[in-house]
Amino acid sequence: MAWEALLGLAFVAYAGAGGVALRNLLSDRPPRAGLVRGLGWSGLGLHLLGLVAQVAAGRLLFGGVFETMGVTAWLLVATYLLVDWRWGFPSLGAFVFPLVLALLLGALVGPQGPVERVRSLNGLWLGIHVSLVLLGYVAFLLAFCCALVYLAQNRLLKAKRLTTLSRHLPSVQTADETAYRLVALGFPVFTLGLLIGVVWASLTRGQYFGGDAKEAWSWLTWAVFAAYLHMRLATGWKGRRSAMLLLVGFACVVITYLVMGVLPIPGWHRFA
Amino acid sequence: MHLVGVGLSHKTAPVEVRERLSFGPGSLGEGLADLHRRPGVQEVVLLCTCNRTEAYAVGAEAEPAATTFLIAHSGLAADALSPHLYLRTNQEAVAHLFRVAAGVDSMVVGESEILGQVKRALEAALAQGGAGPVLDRLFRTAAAVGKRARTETGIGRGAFSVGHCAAELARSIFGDLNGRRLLILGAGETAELTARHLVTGGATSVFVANRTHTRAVELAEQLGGRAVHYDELLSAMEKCDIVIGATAAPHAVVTRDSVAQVMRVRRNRPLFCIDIAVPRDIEPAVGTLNNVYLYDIDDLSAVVAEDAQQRSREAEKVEAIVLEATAKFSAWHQSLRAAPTIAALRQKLEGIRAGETERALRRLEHLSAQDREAVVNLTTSLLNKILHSPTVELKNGLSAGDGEVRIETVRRLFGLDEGETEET
Repeated sequence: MAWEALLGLAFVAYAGAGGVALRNLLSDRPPRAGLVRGLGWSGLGLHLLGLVAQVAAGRLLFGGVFETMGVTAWLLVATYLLVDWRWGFPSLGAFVFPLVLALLLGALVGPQGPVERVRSLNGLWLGIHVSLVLLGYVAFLLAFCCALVYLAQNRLLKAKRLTTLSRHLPSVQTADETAYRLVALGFPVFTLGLLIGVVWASLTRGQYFGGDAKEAWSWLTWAVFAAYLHMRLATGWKGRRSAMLLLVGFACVVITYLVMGVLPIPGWHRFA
Repeated sequence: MHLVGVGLSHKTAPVEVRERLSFGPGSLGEGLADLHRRPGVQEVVLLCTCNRTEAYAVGAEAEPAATTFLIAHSGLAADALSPHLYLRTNQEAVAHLFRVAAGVDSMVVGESEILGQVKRALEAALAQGGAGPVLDRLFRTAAAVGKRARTETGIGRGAFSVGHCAAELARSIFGDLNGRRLLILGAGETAELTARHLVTGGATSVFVANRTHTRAVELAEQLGGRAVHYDELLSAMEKCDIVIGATAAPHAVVTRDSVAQVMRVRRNRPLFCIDIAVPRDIEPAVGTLNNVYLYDIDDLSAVVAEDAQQRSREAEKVEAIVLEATAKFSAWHQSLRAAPTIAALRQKLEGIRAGETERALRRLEHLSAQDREAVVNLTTSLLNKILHSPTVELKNGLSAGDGEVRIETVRRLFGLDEGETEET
């Protein structure tokens, strides 16, 4: 099928970009950031075509968790390329592209969501809810990658080893601040997405909160990132502590998004 | 068209001998003119740095001329200077200059000053009129090789000194050094050099604190900064990003608790502490605080030493680049030297061909125009085929260094110099 082939090509492009980014980090040879960007943008284009073809073929993008991964992966690459374009952070690619590949793999081989349009899935509000939440996830995932970069560079600096890796990684301050900016931008988006979900639920089901596990984990995730922002702004939690909090946040995102989406727990986030 | 490089360096001569062969900006022009004037010398370039003096010359008498020139200029007796001089000819001279430009022959392997020095040597020689096509291309290629070596290998990478190391670490911590504030405790050459490295990297404000306030003022003036009173040390640290500890105090003057407090006031912005004092100024425990990076003199020296080791491991890769560039240059040089001979050979044989063909055609008047053309074509293609191999072999004479021999042989075998003056 056309859309699978396009997504497959995008996968290859992303794999190439990730590979080159990794080599740039570890090798002594001069880094080739342009190649990473080129492959990233090509993959993005192919990926978009694949998603469009997927919709044209009648498959829902938001039908099931695995399908949304295709969209999340695209948003992740787009946001990463934007961050790189704006703030110049090519080495982040080595951490971002593996995540992208995992998500895209899920989209390609994961079980299909419902084939027919379930009535409760209709609605513009639903689409907005999902899109905003996914954008939030993407910001948090990128912040997680920045946290990994921070922890790696911090470890090298504290161990007093100026290796090749240390030279290619950005400074601890850059990693730390980029993570903060990402969360600062993504958190309001995520919050809005959750609120719209609440409103939509009240409109279609008459209740604000259904009490299903996914919902609970969503609010937990929200709380973790709220705590991150609060600690950072109010009490000056910078550097290692806030990086650790981002790791916790990542775990929450994974559980909320993927685990809760896959487990057969009753509640209104089940679509099958 | 002999190419030679004669000279001495820190590897072959102590400074007392090297200083006798130093050419300052004034005497460089004179030196170039002197060497250029000598008979049998067509091109000259002088490369002078504090660690080496090398005279490069092209010409039939280049070798003896350059050697006597250096001996004369040094004011030393021939047998006093000769043991320190090294001589390289043709391909060896080319390879040597490329190695020098790549920084492999320098005292601190991989340093980049030599690159500028090579370029300036060529500029001076061009201005004086001493450099010709061969040396011009040689030195330009050397600069390119030097640049390539630094881009493609790790020969120029890493910290070259404690100050340089500090600047690199600062970049790994802060990213951009622009606008960073620096606090120096105490004084001393290393502290000053380190501060200069950081300022060159972009650090702006410099604050200096010293128990003796006048010394703080002195150093602050030299660095374009401000002196602060010693008891205001901690509040100065609150505003700064980088601290250099260089006092002569017999114990630590900066404790862990005080830095912890400073960090709270600074809302945990990263702090870089460079402790180059012995005994150390900053309690080692300070390094365990979050967002504080503490390096003492041993840590910095260890990084510099490790980097120097890494650079010397890169020398192999540089050698590969040098050999490749040498082969290319020598091929060009060889074909340059061979060109007149190739042209002369062709001219001579063509003369024979034309003469003989004409004579034969006069006796073959009964042939049709077509047949006459065929005869002419036969002689032309015969000539081309015969010339092909000698032409190629002359151009390729660089390998095994027998280019000169081949040119000589061809000239003699075909009598190219009969009735003409010897080509120099």
